[in-house]
Amino acid sequence: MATISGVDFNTKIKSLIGKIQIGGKTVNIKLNSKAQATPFVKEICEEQIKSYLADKVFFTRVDIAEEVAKIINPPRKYEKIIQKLRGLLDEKDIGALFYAARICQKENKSESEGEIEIRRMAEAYGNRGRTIYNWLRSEDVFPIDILPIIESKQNFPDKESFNAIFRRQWEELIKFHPWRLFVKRGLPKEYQRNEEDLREEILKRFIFWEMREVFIYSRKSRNKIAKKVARYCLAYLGEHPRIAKKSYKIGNDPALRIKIYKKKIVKNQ
Amino acid sequence: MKLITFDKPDVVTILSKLGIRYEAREMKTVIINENGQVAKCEICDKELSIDNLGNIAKGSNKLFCDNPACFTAHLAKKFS
Repeated sequence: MATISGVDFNTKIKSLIGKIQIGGKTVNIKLNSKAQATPFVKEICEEQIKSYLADKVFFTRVDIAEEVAKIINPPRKYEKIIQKLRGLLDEKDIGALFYAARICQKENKSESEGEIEIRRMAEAYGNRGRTIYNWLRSEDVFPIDILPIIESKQNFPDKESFNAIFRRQWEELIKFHPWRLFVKRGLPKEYQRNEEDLREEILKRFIFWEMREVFIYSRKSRNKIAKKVARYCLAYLGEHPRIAKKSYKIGNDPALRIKIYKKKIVKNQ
Repeated sequence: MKLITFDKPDVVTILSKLGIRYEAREMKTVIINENGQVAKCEICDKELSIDNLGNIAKGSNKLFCDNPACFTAHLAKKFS
């Protein structure tokens, strides 16, 4: 008979399990006496215990079980990104990416904001999680800034040196993304960017760091701020910078991407 | 992967059966880790009590709070 740490398997499993989730359905099992344990239930229990020992069974509170069961399949749209990053990111970042993908999928489908999920993600992963969500939501950051780094993998002599460099770059961008700014909302004050902060951030990039382009992403009520700041920066920076606006929708929310860029000056010979 | 679901009133039974300690402290029953300290959620660092325990990954001895976003990290890294 199977045992766990010397305890009779049947005894342990009997008192342990009240409900088992099979294929998304919760099955109530009464295991108070041997007579009540049907052969089918016993079979499931044997299987359960084998996977339990192999770390494939989780105990989940019933009110959140449905949510947890859904999480396991990443939305197809973001599957490629998740697949490529899974081996490179630590548990927290891949979790944030997974959950962000779920929020995006929900927003895309139901046309409503995943407010509850966003709050949950902020509680679990803090500002870092919010940044990953914004990156995914922008639809630019992963394909333009992150995946090309992974595609350069072949230029590295070995896996370890690539992983080290990738992690360093990832970390730097998570903390500070120089050419992409998100007008954040729904966050504690210290993480939010007001109009003044945003202006400063953009001007600093153009004046001191001589950057040629900066993207601002906003959504809903923040679009107004983004437009205002972009106009201010344009006026401040003088003749050369230009603006390119792209309006799109996230669920039902109007979203905006503003690119402020310096036009190349062609000198007459 | 299988999920074994439990109700809130069953938490104490499950913890006892899994050999995880708990004790009453400051108006709530907190979960104690192997080092004798109050156990924290692996992801958000929230102190765990029998009221907010959401997930147990027994094989790796990890406990998570009842925020599904926290358990996502473990599932994402391990199984999908």
